[in-house]
Amino acid sequence: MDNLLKRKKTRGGFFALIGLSFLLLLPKVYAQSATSQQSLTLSPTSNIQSFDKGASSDGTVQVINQGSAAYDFSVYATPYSVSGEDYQQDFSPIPGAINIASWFNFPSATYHINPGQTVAVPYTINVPSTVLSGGYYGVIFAEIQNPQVVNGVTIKDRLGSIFYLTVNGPAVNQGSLLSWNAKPFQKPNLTGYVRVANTGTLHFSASVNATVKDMFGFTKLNFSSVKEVLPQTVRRIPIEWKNTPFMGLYKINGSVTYLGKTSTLGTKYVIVMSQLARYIIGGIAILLVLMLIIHEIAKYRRNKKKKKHGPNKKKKK
Amino acid sequence: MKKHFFIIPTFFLLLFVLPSTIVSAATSTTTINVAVASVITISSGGTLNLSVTPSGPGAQTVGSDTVTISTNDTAGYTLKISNSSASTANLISGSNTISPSAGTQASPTVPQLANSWGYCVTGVGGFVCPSVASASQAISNTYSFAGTPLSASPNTLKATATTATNDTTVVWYGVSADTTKPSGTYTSTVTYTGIAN
Repeated sequence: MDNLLKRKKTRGGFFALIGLSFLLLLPKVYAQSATSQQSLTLSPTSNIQSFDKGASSDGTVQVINQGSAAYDFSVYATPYSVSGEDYQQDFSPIPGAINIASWFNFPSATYHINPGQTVAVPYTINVPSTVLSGGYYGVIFAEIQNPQVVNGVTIKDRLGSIFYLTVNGPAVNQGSLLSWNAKPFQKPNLTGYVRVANTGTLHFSASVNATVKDMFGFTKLNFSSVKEVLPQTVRRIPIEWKNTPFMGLYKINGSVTYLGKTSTLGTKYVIVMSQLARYIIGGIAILLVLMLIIHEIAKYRRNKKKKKHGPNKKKKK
Repeated sequence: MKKHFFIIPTFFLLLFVLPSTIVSAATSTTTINVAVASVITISSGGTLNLSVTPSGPGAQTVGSDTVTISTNDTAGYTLKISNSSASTANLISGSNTISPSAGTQASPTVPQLANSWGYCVTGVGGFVCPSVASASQAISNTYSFAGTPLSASPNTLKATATTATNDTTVVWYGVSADTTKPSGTYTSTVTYTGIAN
């Protein structure tokens, strides 16, 4: 009995030791993984401003270090343009077009930031008096300046804040909702697309709101997204439900608001089926067809037998 | 008696009016407008050390870096990758170089050629990526890599539709070297760009 008690005590102590070790080790593991990451935060992500020709404006972007290591970062401006309906962003100057990077001035090109610190980076935008009225687009980048590694790849993180600038004067605000589409059969994630065209000379915001409901009418997703549509472009705006269940029937409704008008997105029904669900249902369907074929063959053979033996039976009678 | 005639109705009037006055004061509304600024955060490892011990036909080392992005911007974000240089994507050691993989994101190179390096992101373009890091192994016939593009034309790794919280993207890097490659410390710089859509 004493031995049994001793054994239990020893086992208890052993497990307590393991538990304690876990408690002591776990925070260390997390702390180590946290220190290996650098973190850069930029705010705001975009700016919408209007200017008269020849005017200037001062402002700041906030750079925050939420990591655990200090670093230097640089700030600079680039032009901003897009291509294709998916809005592939480009930060290179376009030959023949105005490069508004030269409109931005920074008192300093590099800054130092400590962990937990916020640095307000001042900038001045000077709009030339000779420029035509309309929309102009640029980006302020904040880029971490990591020291070069001895052997391997040095990684630089950079974040951009997009500037949508309007130079006041004669302008055309014009756009339309081109299409709204969600394929009736989809694999997860459930996705729909709204296409908005800007046929004017100024950018405008398109606010897309959509609701996804299941077949019982329960709301599964409330989607909301605001996107800028640049002049003379068509923007394909995705409505996406992340982590859609592997199978289901869903109803999508919504609306798009742009240039002060709201267009309703007609109801779309979507069947979502993952590849695995497709294999399972396909397998069941094949099995059912095979069973039907076997049944029909068996039926045919039975009838054949009946036909063969039928007259003989009559003869016997 | 006449003097006191109005006392009772006045009392009742006050009884009903006063509380309603108090109640209306208590229920007066104040509109509070709060402007929540849009933010975007990026974090990554900062450096990636890759060492390879060359072999005759070529040996390959693969390692990964995780990029994490969060944003409260309902427009979502785009993550791009490029080499930081506008002129070369080589790994450089003095006058010696390891060239970027000839493959592109849409059509990456497999197997990776000896004396080249590149990146791979699962689920993007035509990539087939490793799942564990390895050092100086035989060049894989499965894993495909693309060269990092120059700074002027970054490749898009991810574009999201709405807000994101700690959204991770694992970027794999692979470098291959054979015994003709002079020993040395080869370096290059890669830029991850996070920007709202």
